[in-house]
Amino acid sequence: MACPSRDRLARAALGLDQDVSDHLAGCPDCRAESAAMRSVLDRLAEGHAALERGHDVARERLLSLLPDEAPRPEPAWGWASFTEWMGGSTMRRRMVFGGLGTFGVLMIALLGVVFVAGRASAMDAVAEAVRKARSYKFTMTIEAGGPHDDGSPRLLIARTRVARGADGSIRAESEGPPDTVQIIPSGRPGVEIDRTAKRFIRRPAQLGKTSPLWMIEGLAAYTGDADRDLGRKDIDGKAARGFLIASEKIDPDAHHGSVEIWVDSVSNLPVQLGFTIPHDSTPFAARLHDFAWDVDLAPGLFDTTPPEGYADVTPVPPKLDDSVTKIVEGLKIYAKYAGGHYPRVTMLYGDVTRDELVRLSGAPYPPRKAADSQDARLWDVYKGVEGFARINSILRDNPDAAYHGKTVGPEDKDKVLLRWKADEEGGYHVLFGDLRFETMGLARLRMLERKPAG
Amino acid sequence: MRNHDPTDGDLVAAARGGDREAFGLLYDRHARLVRAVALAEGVGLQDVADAVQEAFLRAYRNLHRLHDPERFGAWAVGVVRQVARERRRSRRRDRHRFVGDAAADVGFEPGVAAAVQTAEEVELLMRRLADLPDRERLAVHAFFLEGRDASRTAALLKLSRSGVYALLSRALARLAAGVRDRAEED
Repeated sequence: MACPSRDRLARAALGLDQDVSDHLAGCPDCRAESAAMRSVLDRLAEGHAALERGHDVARERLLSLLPDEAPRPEPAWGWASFTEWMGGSTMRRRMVFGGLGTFGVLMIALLGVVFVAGRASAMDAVAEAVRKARSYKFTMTIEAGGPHDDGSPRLLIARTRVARGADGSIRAESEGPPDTVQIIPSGRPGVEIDRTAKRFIRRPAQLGKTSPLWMIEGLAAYTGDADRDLGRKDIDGKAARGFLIASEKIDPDAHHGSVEIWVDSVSNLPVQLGFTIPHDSTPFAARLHDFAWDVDLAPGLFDTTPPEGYADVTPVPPKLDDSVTKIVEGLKIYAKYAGGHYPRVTMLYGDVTRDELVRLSGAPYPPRKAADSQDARLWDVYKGVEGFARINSILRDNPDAAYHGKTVGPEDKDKVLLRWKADEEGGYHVLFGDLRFETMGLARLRMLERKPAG
Repeated sequence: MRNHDPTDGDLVAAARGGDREAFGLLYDRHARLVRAVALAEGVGLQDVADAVQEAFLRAYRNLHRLHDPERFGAWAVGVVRQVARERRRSRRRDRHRFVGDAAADVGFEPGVAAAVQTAEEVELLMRRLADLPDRERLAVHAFFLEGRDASRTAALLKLSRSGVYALLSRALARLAAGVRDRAEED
């Protein structure tokens, strides 16, 4: 009788092949080989068991070595890291990432606010000067985290030099290391390049909704007053005049904070702008300073071709099914704690909605102790944020997207709660008030949206 | 109170928010695979715990770099591979150094010799794993770190059960042959 192969003996030693037992009984060589294999298995088990025995001790030691503060991004790389840390597509993300593309417009917009606010004698000339500017540069300093005892942020996130071309294209270079650059051509896809790690991420064109905080169109309807005249002071050796405006007057869906603007008394051009969210789970402050106006900007500055040899680390876009599942779950969770309604906003920001959900649910967010992570409400917040961030991305990236949370609730089974364009052939993805999902043509969508929301 | 098992994405989000226990749960889930990979990458038995700890500490510090939180496990594997590579390079740089007498100065009580011999055999066998092809080596480590559970090993390595057993059988045959050859040389 032929002896079984060594592989077969190995399978027998693993208990997978019982048919060789008769052969082993009558073959001393194979029996010895099989015994050697079982011995090897025992030794391997022993070696690995020693590792497993230390698991709990190693775990305890690891957790004791973790820094006291939550993991946080390095000061400069990049927008991707920062926005991840911010929890996806959020209001703050809009300011420093998505919002960056229109950040320059902020200045014009704010001038419009101040102008409308009735301080025309000083601000009329300022708004005119800004509108005439062809291009400009400024430095943006962002701080977040904390807070300090006085409520101000304590972590420097980024200091970035921003250039804005005449067509609205933006180039933002963060100080290194690591050295990063973000390029957002007006109306076209952009790119984020990490020069230190030699990698890049492609970003889609942002064609959807933008906070009125960043759009002059949104501010055109604003007729309120500036909340405070900040008076005059010297900034960088220039005499400047300042105003303060509550951000919710400009965008009621945004975090409540304040917008501050200082303009050069002589040239009528801005010398400093700031946005602050002082009392929030993550205090945040953005400041624009060191302005240079009407500078020459080479067209190549807005070229999105990544350097040769750099790695493309663009993340795979989320699948539709996955996005819908997360959105539905997030909205259900919100409605559960809100007494049966969805976020009542027009523009949904992930972090603003998260903070509202934390308030409604009483979740221990951010968690401070081990027991907090066992609280179901905390996990509801985490789940909810994923859905909120997906909604925000849809509204941000799609030119024909809309969210009707102000008028559509769970009982409105035939009303459109959220919709966005599915393809170029006119199809639309639609989420109804009862959270059914459907893809339909434009004609049916129009018919549905003509119905008064109930 | 928790009414669902958090996904890796949930745990990463929590850890990013400063929830250390959430990171502990990630450790519980993935430490076995990370250990297996460390061993497969040639980290010695005596160094595995340190390498794994270093990998998880690096992972924690760099959680914000993780693009897809649901893939924390795969990412942690990449981190420990980097740690192992650095340790190999460091060993090469340090090989000229005098190690000292501590290792040679170990005395044993009578009766412990047999246990020591067994331990040496275990150590020797674990080192022999380094000679196996990558996939077989990883399968062996994962199988034993998962308590010889082929289903869990298959899930861990994203293989079928039969795929796991095929790798294990080949690895076992090679290792046994190596042990036998060495015995014959002695």
